[in-house]
Amino acid sequence: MMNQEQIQELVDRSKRNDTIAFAQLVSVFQAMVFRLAFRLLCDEDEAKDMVQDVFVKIWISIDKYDASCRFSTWMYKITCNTCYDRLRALRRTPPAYSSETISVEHDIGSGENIEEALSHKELKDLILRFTEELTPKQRLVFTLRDIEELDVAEVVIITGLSPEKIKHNLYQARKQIRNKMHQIDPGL
Amino acid sequence: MKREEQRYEEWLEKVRKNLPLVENPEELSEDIMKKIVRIPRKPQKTVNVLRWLSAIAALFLLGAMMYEVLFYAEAPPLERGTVTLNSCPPTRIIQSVPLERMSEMTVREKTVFLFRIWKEQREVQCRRENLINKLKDRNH
Repeated sequence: MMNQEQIQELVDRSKRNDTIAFAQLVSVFQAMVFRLAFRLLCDEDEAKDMVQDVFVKIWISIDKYDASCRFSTWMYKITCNTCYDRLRALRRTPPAYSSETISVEHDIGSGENIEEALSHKELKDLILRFTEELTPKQRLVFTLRDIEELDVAEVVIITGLSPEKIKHNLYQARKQIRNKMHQIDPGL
Repeated sequence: MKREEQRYEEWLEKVRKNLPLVENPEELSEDIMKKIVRIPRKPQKTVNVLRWLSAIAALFLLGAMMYEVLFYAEAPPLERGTVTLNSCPPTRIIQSVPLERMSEMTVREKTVFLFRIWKEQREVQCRRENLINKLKDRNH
């Protein structure tokens, strides 16, 4: 992983329309953006689309990045905003897939990708099993705080929410997940 | 309760450890770069110059508006004799210019001409208002 100075150098070069420098930024950060997008949307294709959208947005607005926060935080912010909009859109028009139909519809692929595809499918099932009913905001806060393990100050910068709202949404999300766990396996 | 908490933590740990990875990162990077190359990005300097020009234009318009509101409303009071009611309505001034001359005028000349008429009308109106106010004061 690059240090802040190296990243800043790539950012500065990208600001001067250096596509090679930007390609380096893409290769360094695309895994991070994909990870967050997948955890939020629980769909591989959607996550890939989000990665593309996020980097296009970054390229267009890289001049606005002023190094007052870490580049990764700024990138998280753009990723979260893009995924949050997508989550809300999907909520209005539910997608064709659901947690029950994933195993049937998921294209596993062949050869070397089988293991990876299964891992994505498992993860999707694992997350959606208890978090499917969370609101987009609750899902966002829960993912950033409990899964990505970011501190509150960083979540405040990324989401633009106040610490109180973050606390409230996180409390509601955790409560809902626990309730769901209890509903699915009441014996435990 | 403790069991539930433990189960929640176990689930969370499993989600954290199971990192989603891009199947074909090179292909995805390539797609991103193809999109980016197609996007023209305005140089920041041009954007800044445009912003400054817009700001100056906005200030100029605001200044003109303030000038209109503040200075015309406080036109110096005039004596009764100097004011002629319906002295020269705009139609009369317009008619005073020959038709051939009007058709020969450029848009800019027409704008200047109409602005002059409007300005004169405004002055006449101010004088009338002052006169009426003065008359009202005297009657009281």
